[in-house]
Amino acid sequence: MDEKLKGKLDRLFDEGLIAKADDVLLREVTADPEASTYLEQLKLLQTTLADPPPVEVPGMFRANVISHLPRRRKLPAKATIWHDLVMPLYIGVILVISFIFRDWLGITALMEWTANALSSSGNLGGGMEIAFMVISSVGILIAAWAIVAGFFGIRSRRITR
Amino acid sequence: MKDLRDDELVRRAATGDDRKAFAELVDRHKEGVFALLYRLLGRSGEVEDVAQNVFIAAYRGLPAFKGKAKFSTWIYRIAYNQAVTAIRRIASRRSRELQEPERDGEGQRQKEWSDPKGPAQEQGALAGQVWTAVEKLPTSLRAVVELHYGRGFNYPEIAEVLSLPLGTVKTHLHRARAQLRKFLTGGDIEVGKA
Repeated sequence: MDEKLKGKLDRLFDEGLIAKADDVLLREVTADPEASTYLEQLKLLQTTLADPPPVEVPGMFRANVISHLPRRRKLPAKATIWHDLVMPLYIGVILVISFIFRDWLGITALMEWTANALSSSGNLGGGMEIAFMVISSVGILIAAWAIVAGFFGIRSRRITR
Repeated sequence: MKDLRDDELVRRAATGDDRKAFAELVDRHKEGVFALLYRLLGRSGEVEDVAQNVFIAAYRGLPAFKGKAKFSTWIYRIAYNQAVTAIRRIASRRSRELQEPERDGEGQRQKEWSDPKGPAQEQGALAGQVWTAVEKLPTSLRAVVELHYGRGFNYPEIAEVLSLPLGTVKTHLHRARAQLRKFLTGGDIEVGKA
């Protein structure tokens, strides 16, 4: 077979256009029996490759895959509520309870001692007031933050879910 | 689920624990993955296990999947990588088995590996021969042929799946076609390991 003609056919095959050989080329091919056979072989190769044999997938494959999937850790729900709402609220409640039962819990005595140590003038009342004010403010801030963060936290997760 | 696009199913399966969404993805891509694995592993009896590993690996990797590539491209890349690993494992097992005296059952397994009976043989004789010839091509060429002709992937998509430069993909496909043409005209396929 003429190498030039073979090259043309190979190029057509590579481009996936072997079935669309133009008339001029077809005339050249018909004149050469070897080239005709080669063209038919290329056509067969093209159609065979374009039509691969069917694939057998086992019937239970999907079920098998799903049953073997690892459990994915769920962040939402409990963990979110705990971090965004319950835990800060818990800290706030502890602080409020501590404030209410300060005498019984011995906090007053501890704070008196602290205020005494901190107060340069030795005025216990002024030092204690400042200490209580700071602690209760922090408690209220934490509780407020807990409610706001909890609300927005849960809401944002509900949207993304 | 059936009317949802792949990217929506991926989002659902990745952000929550939506197994129905992932099951739908398995349904959509299992045939393609099996086809690629059959082409790469032959009828070695490993295909189902490897296919299962492919989808489990995909599920694990979903949260990290950025969606830059199509899910199909990504899953075929996983399948190709797992198949290459399996080929190495099978080759090493075979070499070990060849060194040991043959025990019951092992001979049969080797026979299955070396004497594949698959859909290729059940088709028309000549078409079957073509697919047998494809099975003799080196791994990378087989992968390119399957992805291009079997899956209808274009060159850039194949390059992405196989993590190869575009030029290399073109060369691989050119070499594969040349070898198949050679086979058709009575020549022998150059069996390779690559």
